[in-house]
Amino acid sequence: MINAFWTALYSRLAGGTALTALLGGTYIYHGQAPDGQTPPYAVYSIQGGGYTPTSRHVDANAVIYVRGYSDVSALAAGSISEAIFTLLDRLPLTVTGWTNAELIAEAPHIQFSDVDESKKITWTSGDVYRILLDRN
Amino acid sequence: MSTFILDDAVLQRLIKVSPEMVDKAIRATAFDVAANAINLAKVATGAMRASIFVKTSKGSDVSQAEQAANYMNPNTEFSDPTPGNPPLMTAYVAPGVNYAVFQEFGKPSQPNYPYKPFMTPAIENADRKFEEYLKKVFE
Repeated sequence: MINAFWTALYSRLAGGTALTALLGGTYIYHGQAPDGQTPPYAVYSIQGGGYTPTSRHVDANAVIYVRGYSDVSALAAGSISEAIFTLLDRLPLTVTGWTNAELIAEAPHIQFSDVDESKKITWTSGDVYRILLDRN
Repeated sequence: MSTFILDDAVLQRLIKVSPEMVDKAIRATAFDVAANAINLAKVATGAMRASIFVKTSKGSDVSQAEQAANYMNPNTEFSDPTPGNPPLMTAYVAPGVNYAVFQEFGKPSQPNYPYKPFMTPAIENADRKFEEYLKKVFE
């Protein structure tokens, strides 16, 4: 999708002091974290949708997935996703070249875990956000 | 003084048949979502793709999906994650293999897991079709 949107999204997340305090820095990645990255960290990615060429008003209508990861507990992962929610849900986002950028969290909340070969558990918690953008 | 008589017979009939008509549009959309998801699903053994099923108010193909998934990979663990049989104007489309969640949302223990969403894009792509089906059933 639109690079200006991803740039604005990263700036919003990286500027969230409550979020970066939970992560211990700006461990926020687009698409996926680097190989070997240990939690806590946050990831955002496109989940579906995109440009809407047939619409006269909304020019992009997509869903993104923003989540946190923890190797401590489900609650720790949940705290990261809560900090993300506070930064994103129903707050205007300034995207260069676009107007009316809006992010709205949609159901369901996504939370699950898995166990690696060494029996270590990693939890994730996050939300899918609807992004609507109008072209300038 | 004028008298107006409102004949609401057509309106009453519409209210009565509307849920069935909307359900028809939802059923058609659900099968479109499943077809989209099948096209978008990553394939290793083919079991995940084969495990995608549809449940509507008129029935389901869960058992066929389970058989197909087991045929593609006999080690497949199949489970139905839906809350039960859908009521009128509701449909469920879901994959029956437990690892589908990792394909859709990534694998928490593996940061570079090559996930590829297939259910969400399938639903997003079906929006316009649903509108078309609704128009068609009410014509």
